[in-house]
Amino acid sequence: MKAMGKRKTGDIIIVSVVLVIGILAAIPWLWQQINAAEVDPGQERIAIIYRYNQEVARINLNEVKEAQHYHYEGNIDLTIVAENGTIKFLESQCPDQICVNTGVLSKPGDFAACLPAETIVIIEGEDYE
Amino acid sequence: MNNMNNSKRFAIIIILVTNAIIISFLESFIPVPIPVPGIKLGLGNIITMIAIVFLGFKDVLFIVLVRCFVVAILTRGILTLAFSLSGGILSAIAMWLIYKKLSRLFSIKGISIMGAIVHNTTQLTVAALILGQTIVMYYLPVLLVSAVVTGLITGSIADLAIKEVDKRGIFANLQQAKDGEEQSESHPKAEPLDVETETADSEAKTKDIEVKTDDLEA
Repeated sequence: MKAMGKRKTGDIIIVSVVLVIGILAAIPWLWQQINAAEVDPGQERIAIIYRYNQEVARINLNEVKEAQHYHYEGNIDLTIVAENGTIKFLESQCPDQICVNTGVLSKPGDFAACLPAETIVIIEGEDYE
Repeated sequence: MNNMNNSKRFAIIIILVTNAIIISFLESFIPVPIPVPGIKLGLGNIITMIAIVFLGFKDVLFIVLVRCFVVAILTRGILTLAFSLSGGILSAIAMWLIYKKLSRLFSIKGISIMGAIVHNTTQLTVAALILGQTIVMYYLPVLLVSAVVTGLITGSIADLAIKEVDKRGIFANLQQAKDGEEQSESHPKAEPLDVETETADSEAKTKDIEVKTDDLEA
């Protein structure tokens, strides 16, 4: 019987390589999280909605005073709501609800995606333009 | 003799397929503590691993295909099928190749970890392609690390299951039939096992695995 018994050299190599890559790749993300904590409320935040690979809406979140609802119909209906400085998936007919569960987006770099509906919302700041 | 081996092979494939479907389906009820889409235990991988050790390549692909179809319909809906299929099939192929070619370097646990890594990376790539946005790659580090953890868990369970199946010789004739195909010199022993005992055994195994999953949760 092949591949039985205790762990082998390849196991250790692959686990260490992946853990190192994972930790290295997480550094930019951590850096962003730390910086995002110091973001001042006046910073520009543009929410962009992409559907089927095309930009369908661009919203300056700082200029949103009243809640704006963006309703899209297709094979899956969904509603995205922008409020003062934030945006989120309000509801979606998709089975997994990952987009709704992602919750409120408020910082540049935040994003939420609904894969079945091929829709993604990304917040960009000034430095992303 | 050959005929009997073939019916036994079909019986085992069907048992493994149904087990894979039930395990994957039950798994979708286990809540994931990390709010990153795509993180799951991948318990169906246990069955894939057993199939890789005891069955042929086509049988493995068949088991993975049927599992992905049925589980997609039962849980996430048919729209995400491209998603589950790409990850499931590519990881099965990767695990098959590593098992056949690099067994000296990788244990069952290591192969399972590699499978999880391939699975997660593929799914993320498909997500990026579908959405046309590379920003989803932000999830890659989390998904890589989680692949190591979940791959180790499923790999350990698969390791135990494979050892047990091997010790009891449940798939023994089958193994010889497969080796015979490959080396064209088989010495099949007449050791008829009726399918019903196998089903019972296999069910007992599934229960074992479920109990272990519960332990992990607690």
